[in-house]
Amino acid sequence: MSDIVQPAQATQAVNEERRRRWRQAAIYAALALVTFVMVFPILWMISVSLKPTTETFSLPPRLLPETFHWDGYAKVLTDPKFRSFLINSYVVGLAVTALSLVIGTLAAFGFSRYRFFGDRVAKLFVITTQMVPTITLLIPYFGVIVFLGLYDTLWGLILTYLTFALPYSIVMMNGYLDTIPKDFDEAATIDGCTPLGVLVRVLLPVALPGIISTAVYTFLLAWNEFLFALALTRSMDMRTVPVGISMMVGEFGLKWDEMMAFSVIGSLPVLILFMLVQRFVVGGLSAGGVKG
Amino acid sequence: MSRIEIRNLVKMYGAHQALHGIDISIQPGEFCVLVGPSGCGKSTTLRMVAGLETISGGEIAIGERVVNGLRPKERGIAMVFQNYALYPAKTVYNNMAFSLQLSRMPKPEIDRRVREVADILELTPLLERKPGALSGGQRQRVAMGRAIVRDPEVFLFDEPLSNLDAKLRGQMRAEIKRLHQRLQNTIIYVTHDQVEAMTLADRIVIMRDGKIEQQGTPDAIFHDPDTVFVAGFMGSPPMNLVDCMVTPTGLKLGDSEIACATPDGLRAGARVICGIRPDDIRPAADQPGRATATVPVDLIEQLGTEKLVHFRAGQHSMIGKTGGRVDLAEGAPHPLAFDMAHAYFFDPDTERRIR
Amino acid sequence: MTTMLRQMTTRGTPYLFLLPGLVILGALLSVPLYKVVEYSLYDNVIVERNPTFVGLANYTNLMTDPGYWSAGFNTVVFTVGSVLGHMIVGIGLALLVNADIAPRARTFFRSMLILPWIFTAVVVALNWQLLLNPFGLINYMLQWMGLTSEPLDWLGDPDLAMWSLLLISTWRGYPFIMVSFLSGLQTVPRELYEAAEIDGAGFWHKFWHVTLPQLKPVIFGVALLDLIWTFQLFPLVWLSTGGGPGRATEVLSTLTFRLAFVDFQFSQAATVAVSILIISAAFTLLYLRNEARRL
Repeated sequence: MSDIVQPAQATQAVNEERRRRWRQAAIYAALALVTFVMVFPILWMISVSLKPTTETFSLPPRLLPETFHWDGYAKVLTDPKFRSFLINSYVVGLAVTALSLVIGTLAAFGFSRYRFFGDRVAKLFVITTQMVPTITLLIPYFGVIVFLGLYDTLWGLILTYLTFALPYSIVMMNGYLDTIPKDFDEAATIDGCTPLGVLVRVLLPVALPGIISTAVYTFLLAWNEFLFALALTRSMDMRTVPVGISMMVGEFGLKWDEMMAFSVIGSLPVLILFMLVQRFVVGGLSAGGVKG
Repeated sequence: MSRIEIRNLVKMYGAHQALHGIDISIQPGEFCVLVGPSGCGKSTTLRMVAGLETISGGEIAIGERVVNGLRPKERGIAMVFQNYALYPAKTVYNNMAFSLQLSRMPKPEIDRRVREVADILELTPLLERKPGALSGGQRQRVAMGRAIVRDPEVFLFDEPLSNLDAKLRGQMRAEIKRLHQRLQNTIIYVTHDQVEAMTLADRIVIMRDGKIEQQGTPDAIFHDPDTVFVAGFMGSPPMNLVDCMVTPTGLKLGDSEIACATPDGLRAGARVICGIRPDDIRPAADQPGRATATVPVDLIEQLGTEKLVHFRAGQHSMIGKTGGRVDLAEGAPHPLAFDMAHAYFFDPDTERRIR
Repeated sequence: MTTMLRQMTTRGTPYLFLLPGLVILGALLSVPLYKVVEYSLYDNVIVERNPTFVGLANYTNLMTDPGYWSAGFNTVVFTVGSVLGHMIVGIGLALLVNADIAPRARTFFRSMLILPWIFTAVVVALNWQLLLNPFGLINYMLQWMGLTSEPLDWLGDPDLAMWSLLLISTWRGYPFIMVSFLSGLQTVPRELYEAAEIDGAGFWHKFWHVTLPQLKPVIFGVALLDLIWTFQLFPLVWLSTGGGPGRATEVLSTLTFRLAFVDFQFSQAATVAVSILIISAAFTLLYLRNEARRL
């Protein structure tokens, strides 16, 4: 056989290459189109937030406003009420994230590293708690939170969200810890670590991506929760961002620029957080079944 | 340097008994290799010495102390793991220093020790790297370094070379041997590789199904096996083990008869398992005066300096050896000489040696 | 003696690690669950100090209430439609994103396509109210393309509201399926595709004969999870349509909320809540059976 490529083969190779390019171009085009359609509602939200209310429905629609109209943002950012919504959401979100991460990681470590009497039952119990309909819990929860004297406090929300977030923290962290070989535990035990030392000094540094994705997910859960935030608080000072936005709808009626401005501002923290760590989160979602 | 006494060691997993009363006595400075097929209990034994598995029965003493209830860190041991178990988030330096930091050793002392050991193992230029940036052999050395810095009474190795490729394994084997000569520590070393066992050990303990099959020096194990299992386990290619019938003049092996002396007490007509190493079966032309049999040779494996000769004897497939330059035709009958002076005889029922 | 003590503490270690988590989950889930069942057996709970025990009367009321049955029917439509929408869009996009393109492009498209999932339900509802408004963008596009002559009131017309809700729910929910399916795709051994290619399989053949069979457990588990969660979904429905117009999109969760916090019939609300719990429990058992195999 000679090394010279036969003309027929050469054209075939060129054709093959050309077909591959076409296919790639088609895939990119399809992806770009689909992505634009899927992201459009978000873009439109930003667009409307930057237009005066008179232009919200003006035709033909323009994605880019003629002039940027910042009144909505100015109004929202200067109003102490909105600031209090944001602060409440941060306090609740961060507290729930920290607590559920600590408690959840401890439990996940127990599940991942030990075989003990009742371990399967306990694990199934934790998974089951992910499935309990929140709406079913609403009415009795109301009673429990009132009974504990936590009605209309951020503590009530923190405790509630902790209950909802914990199963996810446990399942996700358990999934991560399971991917770390037990050799590390044994090496660390021989090096002189206590069980807690094994977890804190050896496993957690390795599980950092898992911790990040669990934390982000928990924060998202707490930041976005609506039903219990609505039912377990009453005063303006205790409202969180989602409830705040929903109340604007009634209060402001047609002020789309302000509502959308606050929606954008209220979504920004999770959006930024998500973008920063999204490669961890995407991996983490698959580690444990995670709520959609 | 400490002696290790393992007395009647038992391990239960629920109702399943994994170890049936193991007794091993290891002298100070001795290199003891536990070897056997997977599931034989060798790793379990090692991990019980380490304190990673609870002891269901019996006693383990390191030095003069019974360590049964002690935590791993209190036992004066260090361990090298099969997968190295280097902490991925720590540098090589911190991997080695970790146990010393945990025991609250003063920093300068830690630094001195780590650098000294790094020097011995030629790890000094790698101290600031993370394990992810090391090659297999380097990781292996870090794992050993981590064990050495603690200056333990006993080293435990759990199949430390099984993740390396063949060439590196040979190098590391020699390195471990040299290290032992230098440090003179007591070592328990688990492997399933009989070459490692033969080359490294002062004492080999062969285990099977949670029991000790035989223990002794490599020489004793190789040249004086007690059981069919030991005979077949040690040596590569493995010893030929064939069912034979004793005849008045020797053995009947398939259709061939081989003249040889048989142990006293074996009457003609008795069945026996005869073991003979491939090295002791050579072409008849090189070995005048030995018992010969003409057998059909069905396969020749060229290994370079020698060739393996596969042939059939009755329904048994057997292996002999010849020099790498000897020309033998496949598929033709060929006279082979059996060095029956080095043959072993085993009882087919108990599988124990008939001496 | 010390040995025994040590062994006992060693045995106890895992329980210590689990204790805080399980106590919180146990207390804050089991007490309310017990309570809600109790409420459903009494009349006038919460509003009156001494409610009367009525046995299963609330349940028989429910069984004869056409409102309950219509909400139940809507729930089934909403759940099945949503899950189907999530699966089709999610799996389709996962395959598209997983196509042979530059890794950076893949990361970009993937993170863009996940976005609908991270917004709070209120924002999602507002966005779509804006888009589906009679004077909104969707009507404008449809008219511009000549598909409709008049603007449609997507959320206000009883015949269209459920379809609109399904559209919103699909948009909101597909990323979860997409991400799960995407990570499932990475676990399918490359050799299987290569073997199929050598056997002459095209895209669809590979999808049907390699991808789907390999990911069947993943798909089943994820679909079941999605089903369980969509079945009880409250905020998105409540904030998008409020169950309306009329009761056209009333689902069991919005019915519960309405009975409790609009009509203050807590006993009846608790009864509906328990019925949701029972149906969820059935699907949960199915899911657990699937999970238990993996434990």
